[in-house]
Amino acid sequence: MNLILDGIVKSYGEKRVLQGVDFTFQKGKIYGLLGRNGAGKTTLFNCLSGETKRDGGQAWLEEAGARRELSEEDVGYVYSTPILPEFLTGYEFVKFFLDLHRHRLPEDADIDGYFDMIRMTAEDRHRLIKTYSHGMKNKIQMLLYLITRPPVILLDEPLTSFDVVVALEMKNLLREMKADHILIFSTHILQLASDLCDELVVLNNGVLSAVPAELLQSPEFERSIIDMLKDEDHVENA
Amino acid sequence: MLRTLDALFGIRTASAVNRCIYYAARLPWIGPRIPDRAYASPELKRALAVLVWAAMVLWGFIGKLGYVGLLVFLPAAAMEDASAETQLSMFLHVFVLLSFAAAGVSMAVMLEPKREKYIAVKLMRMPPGAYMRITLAYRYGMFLIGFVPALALWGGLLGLSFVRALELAAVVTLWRVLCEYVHLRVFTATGMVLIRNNAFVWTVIALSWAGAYGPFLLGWEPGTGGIVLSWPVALLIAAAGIWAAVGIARHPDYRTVVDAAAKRDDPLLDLGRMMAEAQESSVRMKDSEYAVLGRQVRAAARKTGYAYLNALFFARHRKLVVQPVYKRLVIIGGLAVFGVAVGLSPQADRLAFLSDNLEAVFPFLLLAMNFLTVGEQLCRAMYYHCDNSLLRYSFYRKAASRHFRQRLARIAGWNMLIGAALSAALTLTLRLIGGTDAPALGMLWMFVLSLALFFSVHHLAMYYLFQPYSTEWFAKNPFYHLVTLAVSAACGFGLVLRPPIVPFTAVVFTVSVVYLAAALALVGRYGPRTFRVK
Repeated sequence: MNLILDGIVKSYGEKRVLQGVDFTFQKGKIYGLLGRNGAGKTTLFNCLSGETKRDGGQAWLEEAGARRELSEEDVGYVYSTPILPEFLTGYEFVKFFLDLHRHRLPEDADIDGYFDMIRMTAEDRHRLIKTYSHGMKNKIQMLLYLITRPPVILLDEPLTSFDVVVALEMKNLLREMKADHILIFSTHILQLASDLCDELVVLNNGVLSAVPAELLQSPEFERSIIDMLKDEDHVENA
Repeated sequence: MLRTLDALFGIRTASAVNRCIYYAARLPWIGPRIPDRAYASPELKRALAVLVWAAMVLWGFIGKLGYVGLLVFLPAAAMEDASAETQLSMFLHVFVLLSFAAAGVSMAVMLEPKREKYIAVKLMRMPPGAYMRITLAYRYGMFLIGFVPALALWGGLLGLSFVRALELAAVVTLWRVLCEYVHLRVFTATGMVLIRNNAFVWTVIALSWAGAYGPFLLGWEPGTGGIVLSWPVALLIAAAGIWAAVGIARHPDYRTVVDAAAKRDDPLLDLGRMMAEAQESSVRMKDSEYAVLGRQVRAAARKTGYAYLNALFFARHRKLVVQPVYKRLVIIGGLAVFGVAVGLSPQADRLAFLSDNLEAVFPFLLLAMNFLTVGEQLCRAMYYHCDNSLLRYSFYRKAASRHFRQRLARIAGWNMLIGAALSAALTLTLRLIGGTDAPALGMLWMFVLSLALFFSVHHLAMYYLFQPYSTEWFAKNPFYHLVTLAVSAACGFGLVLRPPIVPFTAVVFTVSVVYLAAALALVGRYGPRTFRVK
């Protein structure tokens, strides 16, 4: 399965943030999306998840030669700051989510089984989300996509504020998930990108370009990426 | 001083002009023609600034004309059988109660939290003393100038001479300056910010309004205005006002006053958050309040999907959801007791005219239901505690129509309960006074219950279709305010026109049902697009 972006355009007023983004992402790989502040990474994610209407271009899902338009349900979006209804317990939220997606799930789908997958204790699942740590909230967000298994999962700066243990757990989770999904995550941290990702793409001046695979392991990696991102046209804080 | 005034105008007009451009750019047809560089065009901004300033001044006049005309003149002029003297006396009475008593407490700006204060004093580092003196001088200068034509026109129609209108405008201005000084002195002496003491402010407002309009119902002519306008009292107020103005001008420490209105360690760093917190505190929950009531949570567990979510939401937010309903029921209960007491008292026959004259009562029911129905705060609570997070998920946005219907049923249920309680209280009172027949009472029930439905649909539909809250919490959608204003204006028209009860009820019922159908259709169609995080 491939996710094909075809000439995606998005402007805010006179500022063209995405100027015809073309790229093909493949299932089974983790993609790192690099770009400076204001380059349009979140805008691109929002355009794919349906939160923002794009001005032009198309996004397709291609499987076994057949192509269909990417819909909002095809995309799972993990925010850098997990946003969950805090008045519910983790268990209640997941039950609510399962109720709504029951028709797409196996008959024997079991809430506790899902919580076991993300290694959350029985006590924690019955606490209000309000009391959860950042890492626990993020696990719940990830769990939603383990349940519905959308073909495309977008992760906006997902690991930046975790302690080392949770970060490792999340990395392992992502590696486990990648066989069935197209995973794209945006980050500023080059180390993380080179460590976790199978491929890197750079968003600069409104277009996406791939970083050559051989560069990923080369000692010149950091220098080259910085050179790519340095650009006179770049506007801060767009 | 002049520099401060100039800077202050600069800030006011610049922010008003930027707002104009921002919202004009969002209008259909016009919007796409406004380039981003409009913000940077000095010629355009200068021209707009002049227009905006003229509009602000004009608005000052129109606002006062509208206020005196609608709230003070109309009720007095509506007393058809009364003599011209009585009408003028009631005009002055209402004006004194509203503009001296209620506004003296609720409209003082000395310690009022205001964005401009942060911008001018905290961000632009204007000296707080200069800022406060100049804003107060400007406000009360314009206040005086604004009230002269309003009082001369409306008072003049009831026989108030121009000199007396001038005197009244001057006295009310100096009285309000005195009130500002009292707020300041109370703050410096005790640290208390009177204007933030909601219980006190609302009690004064309620008592003043009851005092202003109660005499109309009781056929009593209190003669308050004559006392305030008598020379000894007027001179006393004038002297006190001038003394207060001097006190305000000489007050040494406005830094503390501005800080108290700002109430943050450093708003300079995070203005948005500060404003957000002020809004959010109105629907804040304590952690302990979430620990709820096993019975309700167990009841919720039997439900699924959105019904499950809503049941848990309403169970865990009882303080924000159910308490306002209880409070309203208690108020209505109090009114019922009062109504029964009046009905059983020897004064009952004074109110007998109401029984055959329900046209006079219905418009007030419109106003009453506008205030009594729950909805707006509830929508804010739903946004802050629930939708703000869930709207990030596409499945939730897509199901807007489904959760809209479920929530509407609940809100309408509560408002119907409030409406039924009000109708029952009125039925009891009118029955005791005697004279109202069963069909008229039937109309009253239908009228009030239709209004309960109307306002339930209105608040929730506005929320789903305009979603006025942003993540920074400014209710920023001007269309939302326009529609809300239109509904309030409709209430005002009801008061002025006093239509006969049967067609009035028929209109309100039909409008409510049409509004319900339209809201269901519109939310079903556009909800997934309009109900989202801005």
